Amino acid sequence: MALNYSITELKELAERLVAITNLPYDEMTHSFFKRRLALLYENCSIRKTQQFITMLEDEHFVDIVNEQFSIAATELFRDPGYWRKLRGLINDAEIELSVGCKVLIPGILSGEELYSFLILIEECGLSGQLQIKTSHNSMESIKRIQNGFMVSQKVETNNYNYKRFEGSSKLENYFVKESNQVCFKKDLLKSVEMEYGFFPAEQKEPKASIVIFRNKMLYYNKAYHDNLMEHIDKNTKAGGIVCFGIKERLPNHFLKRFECIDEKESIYRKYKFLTD
Amino acid sequence: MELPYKAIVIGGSAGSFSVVTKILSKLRSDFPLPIILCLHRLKHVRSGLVEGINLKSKIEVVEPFDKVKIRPGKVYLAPSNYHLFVEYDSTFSLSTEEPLNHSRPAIDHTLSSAAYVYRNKLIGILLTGANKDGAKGMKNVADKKGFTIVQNPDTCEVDTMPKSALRLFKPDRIYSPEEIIFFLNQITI
Repeated sequence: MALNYSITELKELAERLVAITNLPYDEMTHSFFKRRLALLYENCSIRKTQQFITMLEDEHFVDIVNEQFSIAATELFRDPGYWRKLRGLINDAEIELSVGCKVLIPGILSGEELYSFLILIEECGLSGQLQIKTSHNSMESIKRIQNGFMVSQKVETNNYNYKRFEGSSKLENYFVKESNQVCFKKDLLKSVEMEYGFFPAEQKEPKASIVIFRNKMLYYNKAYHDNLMEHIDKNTKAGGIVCFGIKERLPNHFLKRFECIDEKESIYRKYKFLTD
Repeated sequence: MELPYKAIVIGGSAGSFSVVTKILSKLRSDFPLPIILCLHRLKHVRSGLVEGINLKSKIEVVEPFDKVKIRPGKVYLAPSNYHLFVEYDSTFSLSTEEPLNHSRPAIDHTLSSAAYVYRNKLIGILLTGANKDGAKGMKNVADKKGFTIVQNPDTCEVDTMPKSALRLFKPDRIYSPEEIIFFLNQITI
């Protein structure tokens, strides 16, 4: 479905969504906002702008909008090379992780990225020892992830990725069957806190040792990347690492505060000499 | 002198690697337009394709990072497992959104976004391929008065993709790979 909105009309709708949700809709790239809006209109049989505006008075519908604008990772261990690298950094003590250390996974758009990390730390013997803080734009999605559900059940892809990740178990060992659906084991989710929003609220001590923020900046304007990075910087401890998607790069002026430790996998470390 | 076009998008799937390398090996090294390639590729294999095309190409081929500015005289290859979009500020946006036509990158996405940005200043080219991806995108290029070329199905390794496009709209040209090369070298003189 093609939307025949002008740039001005799209901006007005984005601003309206910001006012209702307090989420950065006005910072999304033009093509992304337009595309997701078209998909939403199609899925919800919306024909006119006024109809959409009226529907926004319903909280449940607003949650659907937020979910529709969130992009699922769609597979476990996407980019196995990255996950192998992260495991290597943890096992080689390149990341200082002790009991109570914090991990931030903002904007968990679907469960897959979180579940992959939880499997990784289980296999590193760290399960239950870390504080894992996550956020999601949709309350329904938070409930879904807390229950271990996955958006897509791409068993073949997930198994292939896990094999390439060279995990020490079998992927099926991390899942159980509940009401005809394969779900992630809930006991592995115990140390995970989830909150509503694009980014978890500013963290009290300790700051995060690991921030996983992969493929999240893709959907936002370049100017907004600086805001996101400032937020990440504030919430990351000196010596902590930040992981981006393999096709994302840190804005240049942040290279004074972060060093690239793996260019191929787009992993950065906040300089240890910086004060938190 | 201002060129009549601002960018070229080439889409292809099965059999298109050899056609693309042939085209890029025969274009002038000072070819003045950006060429955006959206080829179906294995999602688990990140490297190899860009290096393979670069071996033969006279113009530098790169896989763009997100939000990179589109520059003339460069060839951009859509990265594996990401959709590639063109934005109004002449930058690329990447995306991990759902596959389209079982494809990520999807040719329809790249062509359609480029059509909205470049309108009648875009050349859309659809090559050989084994599914219907690209057909709608080419129609969008045509609807925005861009120039459309579909590879002659008789010269395709797999003709599903060009035939799907030909069922949807009438392109400006139906060309063999040699004719595409001749055309591209002519328009930029």
